[in-house]
Amino acid sequence: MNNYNLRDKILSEIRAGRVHMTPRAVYALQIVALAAIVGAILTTTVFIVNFIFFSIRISSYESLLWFGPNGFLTFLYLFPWPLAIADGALVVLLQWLLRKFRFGYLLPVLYIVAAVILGAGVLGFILDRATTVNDRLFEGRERLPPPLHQLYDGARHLPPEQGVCRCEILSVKENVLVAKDTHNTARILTIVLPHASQYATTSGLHAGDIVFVAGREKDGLIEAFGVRREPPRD
Amino acid sequence: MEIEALSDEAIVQAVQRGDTAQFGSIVDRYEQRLKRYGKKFLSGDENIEDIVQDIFLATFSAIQSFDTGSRFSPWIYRIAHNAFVNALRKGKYRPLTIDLDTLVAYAVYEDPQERERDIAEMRRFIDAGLSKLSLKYREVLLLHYFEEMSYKDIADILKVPIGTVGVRLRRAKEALHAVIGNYHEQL
Repeated sequence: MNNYNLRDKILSEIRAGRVHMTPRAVYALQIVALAAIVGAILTTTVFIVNFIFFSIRISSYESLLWFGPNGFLTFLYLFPWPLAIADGALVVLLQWLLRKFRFGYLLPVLYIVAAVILGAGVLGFILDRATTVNDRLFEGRERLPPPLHQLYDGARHLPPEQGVCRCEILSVKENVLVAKDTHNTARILTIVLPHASQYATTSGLHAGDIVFVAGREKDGLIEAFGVRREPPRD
Repeated sequence: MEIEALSDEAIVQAVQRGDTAQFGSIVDRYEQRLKRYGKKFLSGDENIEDIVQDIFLATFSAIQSFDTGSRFSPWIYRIAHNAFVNALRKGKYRPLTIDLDTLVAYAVYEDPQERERDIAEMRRFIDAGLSKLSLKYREVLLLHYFEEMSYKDIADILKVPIGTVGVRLRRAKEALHAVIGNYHEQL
């Protein structure tokens, strides 16, 4: 009897038009919108990773990884963490959105996160190293809309107070280099290298060479813990 | 063809095509099951009749989103589960959390030969200790032992990986064991 009542009640609600079937098109649109949002977030994630690779490349931070423990710590210090954290937040948001799809919730969370990070890392690396997209955007950064303009404008980040610079050697004498900053040619630096270090040696260096230097700076003098010759550019 | 002989999915397909009267059969088939699930799930003063009525209305409203290529039962249980969880947490603050047991994959083995006697015994012990268990253990025990859902169906209802269902069931049994004593010995 009770069963008949509920069945009757539901059907009378339907017949009276107090409850409607939501059209299939609404669900199709929801899926399309969700897929578009997922696509946009995925693209942004890949772009940010690609930009991080570009920023590291154009600032020559990769050289820091050749300078032993000090270089590694400096690399960590100078790494564009705000961008990496923003990217991490996007990955979390992406994994939450993907759970709306069946494949998304059937897969463990860490697998999705790992797949997104790995995929974004590989694609971002390829985009930076195998294409000239970043270099062209960097060259034309003045014409880019915000926030791309600000992003590319600050891509080359070599804070002088951190004792890192990309320099052109003016002279080499024993363990002392005199060099000018390639990004600020008025800035002349004296770079003192340790007497015995595998990471910083004047051996093979000549005037005119472009080097990446890392060390501790005070009043235009850098006590370097790492020097690495770089290919000339710009 | 007699309506009794039709599958849930075939009936839903007819409803989707505009034969809304067929929805009555869905109500007939699921009313008692959902009420039983709701009563055990909530075990409180909530008005199950009203909640179940709302579940059917929500089901009808969303019926066009159902893919008739998949199974209907986990789909309607998903709607019911959400409704019961909402009733349980009515007015309570719900922080955004992430279940640690959904982070990685767990190897699971679902015993298809689980004997009738074992299931009956488990039901008895679940009845004795269910109200003392946390929500995430309560739901897997009810869905598996009372609603006779497979791990795959439970995964679709709770939107968690299949391995998570297995590990929650195991932990739920352990928790049940802790609250009502050594049921293995009693078995």
